[in-house]
Amino acid sequence: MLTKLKYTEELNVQEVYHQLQLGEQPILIKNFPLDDLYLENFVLQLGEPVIEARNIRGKSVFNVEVSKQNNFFRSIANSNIEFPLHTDCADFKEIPNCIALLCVQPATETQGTSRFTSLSAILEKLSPIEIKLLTQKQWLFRNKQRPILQQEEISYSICYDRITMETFAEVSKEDINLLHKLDALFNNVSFTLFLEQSDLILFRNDLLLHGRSGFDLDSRRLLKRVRLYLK
Amino acid sequence: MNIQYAIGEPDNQNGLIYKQIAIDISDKNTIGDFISKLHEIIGLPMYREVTWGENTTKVSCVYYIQKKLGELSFIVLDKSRMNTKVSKFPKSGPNGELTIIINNSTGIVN
Ligand SMILES: [Fe+2]
Repeated sequence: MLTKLKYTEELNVQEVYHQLQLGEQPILIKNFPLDDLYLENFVLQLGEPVIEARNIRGKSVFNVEVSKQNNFFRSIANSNIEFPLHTDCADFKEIPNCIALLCVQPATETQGTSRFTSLSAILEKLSPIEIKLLTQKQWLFRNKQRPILQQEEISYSICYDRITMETFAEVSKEDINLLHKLDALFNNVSFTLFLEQSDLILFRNDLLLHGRSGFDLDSRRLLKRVRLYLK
Repeated sequence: MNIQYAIGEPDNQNGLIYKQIAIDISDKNTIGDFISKLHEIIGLPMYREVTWGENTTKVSCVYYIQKKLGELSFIVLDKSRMNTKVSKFPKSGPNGELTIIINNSTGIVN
């Protein structure tokens, strides 16, 4: 379910890269240095990071923490609300296929717990007819239309983020029921992981869904996030 | 004061249409007051309603003030800066206007 490594000066980045290419499971690196620049440079060895104006120094690292503007959360990621299983950047033209999350400050234990579901576990639970439906039915992800399952050369990739799907488009009652069913199925085959301080988790954004449980509003939970296109 | 603003993504300048307007506010006012006034004038809500299943919550717009004409570097407004006077912010427009991008779409989820 999880590849576990420990950070040392001699950590084999090629091994991390290889595991990400295989894509089956998240890679957890314990004892990773709590330093934005270090994280930025580590990720550069794996692929091309997504650069956004809102990130720290306008580079690749984003603070996932409770943050408000005008008394509203700046995003769902910047809230304390439970975040259901999803793909990041589901509305991007080209979706980054990898995410790195470095835990600087966890919430109290049992809160803000990460959850993952692998696409292979999902596919095992779907009938060929259901798989076909999910590869054919188009959904609007803000302004990009795409199916939830995409057939690649010999395998599939997944794109699912019902918050984006339901916020930017009128979704019918029937389709909302379908999303409820998918959520239940994804949750059924998911596993949880409580990230501790200095845990760096890397995982494929096209082959795994991720989410988190809610936590107290006054929590100091802080994750450093980098999205990237694997080399 | 004269400003130029665009609604959209700071990371996708091609998709941005800047509009020049005059706002009846002194630059001795705070940037927070300026933001409220700007929303009022252009008739844009300060938040977007975000929905999934039975859940709904309001997510704020995020603001980017351009640092220099022709450069893609911004001051991202946050709570700590809302009481700063408008005069303290760079005026990067071609005629010395304050240039602001209001993002109410990308990044509001994750
Ligand atoms: Fe996410």
